[in-house]
Amino acid sequence: MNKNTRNINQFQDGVKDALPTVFGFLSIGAAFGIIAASEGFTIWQIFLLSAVLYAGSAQFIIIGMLLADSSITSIVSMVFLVNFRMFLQSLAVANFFDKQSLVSKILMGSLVTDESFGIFSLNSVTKKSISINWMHGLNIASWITWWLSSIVFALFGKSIANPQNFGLDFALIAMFAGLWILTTISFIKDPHENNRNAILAIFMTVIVLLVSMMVFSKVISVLFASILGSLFISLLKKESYNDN
Amino acid sequence: MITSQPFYTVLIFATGVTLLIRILPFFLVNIIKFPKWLELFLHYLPLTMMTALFFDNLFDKTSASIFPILNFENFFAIVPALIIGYLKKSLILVVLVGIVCMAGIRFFW
Repeated sequence: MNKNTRNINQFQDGVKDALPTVFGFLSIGAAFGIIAASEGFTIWQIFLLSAVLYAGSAQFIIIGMLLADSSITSIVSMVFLVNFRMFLQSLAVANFFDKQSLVSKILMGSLVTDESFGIFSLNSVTKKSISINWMHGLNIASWITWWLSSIVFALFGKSIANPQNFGLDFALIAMFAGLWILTTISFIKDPHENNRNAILAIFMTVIVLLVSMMVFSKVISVLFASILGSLFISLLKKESYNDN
Repeated sequence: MITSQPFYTVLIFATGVTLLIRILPFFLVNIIKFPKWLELFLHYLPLTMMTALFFDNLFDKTSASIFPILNFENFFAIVPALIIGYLKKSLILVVLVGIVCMAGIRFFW
């Protein structure tokens, strides 16, 4: 097999592995399109938010805050806060693919999302073969689904009665549930891993999440919980390294 | 109707900030040598981030109580999906079972 066919095959594998995100993106992209259109945003504006900004929850926040006449500074600060977790996700992805061209880096970085990061980390912990082209396939398929579903449903969505009745809005939550259980299983099955560590990490994360939710917004709580949960377990493990 | 001027200003700045957050790490990894604890942090991050993103959906913040409240509808729809995920190790099956269970709960509840 020559190099080009192999690259194309890897890209196609990435597109196939994006299928679980496609379901979630279809329903949430549709919801975004319908809501934004009904609030008076044009198709062109909806397309720009979905294709250029490409940041699910931040898009909903921008729509809401623009309608509420919030200041530009407060909207942009909120977007920064909501999207900051992507810094950590990008760092993990970048650490894995450390040798790639400038264009490839920019393309891969621009399209990192919770969902593509989830599929990436699941495949990396289950030791499935992943490559730069696979990652691009996964990212680009997710990206196209997102903006396409938001503009298509912005155009036609109003004629569809209550998508909630079919449970479709639940697809994204179910996908996070799936990513969570499968990531957990692979951490627990990893022979180099102490089972106790994975369970402790999950436990700490949930505790921090719940405590933080009493005071802060959900967005901030997710960020706190994932940082503190991971920091806790890595410092604990580093201690045991030093002991040996 | 949204006036265009703040829309485009917000779009440009929000996109700029988001791209910086997303792309900067790709250049940092080649400049900085990560200490051991940071390598470990990144190793466990997928687990804790997926845990936080998932459990976040199971609880609601309400004005009635300071404590987050379990969302029973989501909880009962997700349990069968998680069991299938555990048994079959398939992401797409978890999504499909979750959708079907949620549709069922909303229909009968």
